[in-house]
Amino acid sequence: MNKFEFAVADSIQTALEELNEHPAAAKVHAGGVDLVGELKHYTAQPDIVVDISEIPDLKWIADDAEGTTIGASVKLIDVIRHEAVSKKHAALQEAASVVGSPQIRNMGTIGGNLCQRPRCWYYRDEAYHCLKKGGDECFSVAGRNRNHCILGGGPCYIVHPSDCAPALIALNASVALQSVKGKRELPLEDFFILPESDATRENVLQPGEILTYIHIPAHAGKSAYIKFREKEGFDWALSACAAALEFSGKTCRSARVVLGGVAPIPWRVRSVESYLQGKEITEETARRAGEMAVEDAMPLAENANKVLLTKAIVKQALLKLNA
Amino acid sequence: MVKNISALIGHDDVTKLVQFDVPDGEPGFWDKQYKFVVAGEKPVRRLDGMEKVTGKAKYTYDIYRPNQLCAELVLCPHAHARIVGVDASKAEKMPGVRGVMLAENLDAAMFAGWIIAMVAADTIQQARDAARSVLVEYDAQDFVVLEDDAGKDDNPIRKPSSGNPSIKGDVEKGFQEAFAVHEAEYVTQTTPHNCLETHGCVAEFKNGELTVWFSTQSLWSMQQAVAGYGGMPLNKTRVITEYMGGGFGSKLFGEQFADMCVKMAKKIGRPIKFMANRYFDSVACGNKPAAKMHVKIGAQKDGAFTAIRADCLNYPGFSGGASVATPFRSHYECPNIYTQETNVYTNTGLSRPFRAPGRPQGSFGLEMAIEELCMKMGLDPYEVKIKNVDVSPLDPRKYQFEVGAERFGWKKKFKKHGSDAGPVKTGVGCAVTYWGYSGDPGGAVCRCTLFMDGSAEVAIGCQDLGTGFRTMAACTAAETLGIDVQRIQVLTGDTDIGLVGPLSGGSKTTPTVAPAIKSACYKAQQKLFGRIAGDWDAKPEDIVCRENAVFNKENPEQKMPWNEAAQKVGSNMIVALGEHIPPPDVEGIRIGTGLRGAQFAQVEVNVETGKISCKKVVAVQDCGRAMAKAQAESQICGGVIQGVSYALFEDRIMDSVLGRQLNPQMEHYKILNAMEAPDIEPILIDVFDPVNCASAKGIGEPPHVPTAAAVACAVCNAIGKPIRSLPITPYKVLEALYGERR
Repeated sequence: MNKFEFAVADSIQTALEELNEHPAAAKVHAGGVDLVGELKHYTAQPDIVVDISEIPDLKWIADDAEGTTIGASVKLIDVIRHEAVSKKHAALQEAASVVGSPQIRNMGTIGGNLCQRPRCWYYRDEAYHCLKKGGDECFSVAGRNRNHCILGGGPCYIVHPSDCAPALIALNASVALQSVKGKRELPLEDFFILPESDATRENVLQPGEILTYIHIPAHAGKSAYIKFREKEGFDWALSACAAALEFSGKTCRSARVVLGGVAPIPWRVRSVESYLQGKEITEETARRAGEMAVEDAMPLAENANKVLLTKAIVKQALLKLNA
Repeated sequence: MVKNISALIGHDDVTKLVQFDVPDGEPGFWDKQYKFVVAGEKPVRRLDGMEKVTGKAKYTYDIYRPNQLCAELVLCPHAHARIVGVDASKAEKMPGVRGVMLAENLDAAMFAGWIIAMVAADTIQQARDAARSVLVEYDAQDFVVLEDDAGKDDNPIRKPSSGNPSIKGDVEKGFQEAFAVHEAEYVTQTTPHNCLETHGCVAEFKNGELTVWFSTQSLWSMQQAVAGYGGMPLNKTRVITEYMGGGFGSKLFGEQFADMCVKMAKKIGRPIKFMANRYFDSVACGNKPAAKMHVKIGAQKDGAFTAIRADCLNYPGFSGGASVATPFRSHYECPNIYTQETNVYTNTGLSRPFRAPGRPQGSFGLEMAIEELCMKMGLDPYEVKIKNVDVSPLDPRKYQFEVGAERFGWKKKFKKHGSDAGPVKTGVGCAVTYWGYSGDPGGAVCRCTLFMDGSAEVAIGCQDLGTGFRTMAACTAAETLGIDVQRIQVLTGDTDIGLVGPLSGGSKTTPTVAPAIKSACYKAQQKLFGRIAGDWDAKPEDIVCRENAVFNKENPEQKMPWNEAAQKVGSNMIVALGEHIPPPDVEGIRIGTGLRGAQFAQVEVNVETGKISCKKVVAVQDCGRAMAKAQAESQICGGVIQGVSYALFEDRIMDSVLGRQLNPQMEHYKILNAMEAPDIEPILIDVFDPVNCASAKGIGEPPHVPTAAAVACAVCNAIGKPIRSLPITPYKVLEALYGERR
């Protein structure tokens, strides 16, 4: 890694001030799970790293009638173990539980999980000056793309690596972003941006701005997260599906269905959501929902089978909620 | 002077009494009538286990010499390039930098990862910073990295080179005689070794001597190599490999980085340490090469093979050669066999031996072809396979197959291909293994020292690459001496021990070393017994020690505890040397089958997601007699685990755009974890074979040969469709099931 200054912030305010002084050349460190890899492989070469892991205001979980609020620096292991999360937001608990390995869940934070950079092997190799790094080519198009996206691609074909993001979007979560200029809140769904608007980033965070907390509104539904990975530990989603459904009796009253590992952002499938409304979740509706979820898929040369796989994963997620 | 001994050879109930000569003063043979007390019976815990788990064991990686410098390499980022110029002037002036050395062979870089230069600095971070500041001008050339692109005439490296075919009988006639014939192409992938400890060394010149701590499988050839690098006489060159984190065949050779470390250490006058990072280890330190095998096999109506033909393309990297055809010629009996191999070159790092070189590849092609032939003929592959190994009673193959099938429950578990109800389908597969006897007569000299307190030391100029070699050595010594294994101290891993030992490759360590240990211990103890014999009016060779008790075989009343007998050693110690002396190669006294084994795998395949889970592997293996049962079983489990990983996960992925390896780290290079490891049942079958006085054969490689093939056959059995390339991924399962419909 290159030489950089390491500033440990003790409050949100000091963190924001440090970041404001070096807006373009600063990186934020919380759990370090993603950033340290980026530093070691020279994908990130900051002048200053601002550590926010010790800021008390970012390390709490609150739960009341309005919903559940989680500070950005809360470790994944603490998200998994929190009673409100396990009782009310199964999809989030299931998603956080399958992130990386136990070591990663012990160190990694929920904010970091949402803000992490993609795992694309071209992006992660310094030798490829790809679109994401300001270059003019996405090497995956002509190259090796078994892990790349089947939806929402172009001009860059990464998949968003977060497990928690699809779950949180299914749960209709919002995020708070803060900089010295102030604070803004937006639905998590609007936090992520497609490469067609800006291939060099995956979200709307501005230089000097940090994600401070996540809010999940109270709801009466059931939710689930299914992650397909080739290895049962320490592996990324080849395809994933988060679903949150509200029922009247056996009938689905409303649904939010979000795919992971298949698009540059967590991919909400509204066609599936409206299809499920007013239906019972049967083997047949779940199968049909799986087919609808990938209707717009445009696979690359080596990932056509991700389409088949995603169908099966959507079906599994929905049937899990019916069980 | 010789003595004639009789020995019961064979396996299980199939035995034969043979007689042969043993040189005077050498031990007899551990035949079927000789029951092990220490070796091969009760599991003995790994003697250095505590050192390893507590971090006391010092690996090359852990060596830190006073005044040591850290080295980093400058590597070519291009798959194929002419090197126009190198400018290290900026790097040389950077903080902490003590030297920059350019590599030899700087005309052209043949793969991404080619060494351009080495930088030595006070800290590793300074060395890395400086390595990035070495400016290299490249003239990028056309390259080829994908196997599918490499066989063409415009290959920018060199044209494929074909070897002469190996021919037995007449395959065309054999195919004409066949009732059914199957023909298809089978493809395997390239997999780097990925040893837990990466490649590396520490080189130091001190007091006119060169010492190199080297993570190597071959202490003695490395001594010659580093002496050459440093221009040093052999008797002033020392190589130390006290503990080692695996090699699998990738650490048998001299290394360019070691050459540069030694030369820089000499030039700068300070010790230099280089440990490869995962990137360099993956791209430049060897791999199990890919192969494409065009296989044709024919059988009679009852499944007896009439002809086997394999035309193989091997992909050794930018140069050299590879071979995968041996299994086609040696795993099953067949009157007509034809194999031919061609090397095809790519701009990638060179292949190196990898745990039974070429065998897992060939085994996959062969066993899958048989599986498909059986599927076509509606036969049970187990019945067909066992029919084709049923040779002679002393040959253990049929027996091993039966033992394994019984334990596995093959008859209950086998269903017609693809007939299991979904969505999660179960399937079973089986495959055989073969490895030739590789003990090396004269390849090891061991020393046994007896002390007057009843303890003993065994010294061997060898290296423990992580297999439990020390424990094997201690068990063999304890068995020979008839005393507790805790009394044995094992010295190894250092050329200064001054005793030649084999390289750890070809599964030759145990068959070479165990008989030498037995011989040394026997001779030392005979010297001691010579001092007791007079008192008892007995012959020394009639005195034995079993379970710490010394007694006269001819008069068991005459006995004393080992501790008391050992007092007669006195303060001068008793020292003896031993070697692997083979019994005469007389017709009929050896089993002559090498090492054989059979494996049975059970998988579950989800036909909606393509997910494959290997649930169970039963691995039957002979290694002659196991010198240390727990360590031998551990070798079987290791071979199986690596085999399942090879079957389902591991794959070097090369980029077609810039020609670089895209998964040189553990993130995208998938190796199975504990969660993916099957339940493994290792079954050791004793085969009493007088290849050496201990009946010891090596077991490192043979259990790795058939696993991937058995798993692939099981997947085929589960889904009723063959997957003809490794690794078998969920995508490939989905492709096999639904690809045509898409």
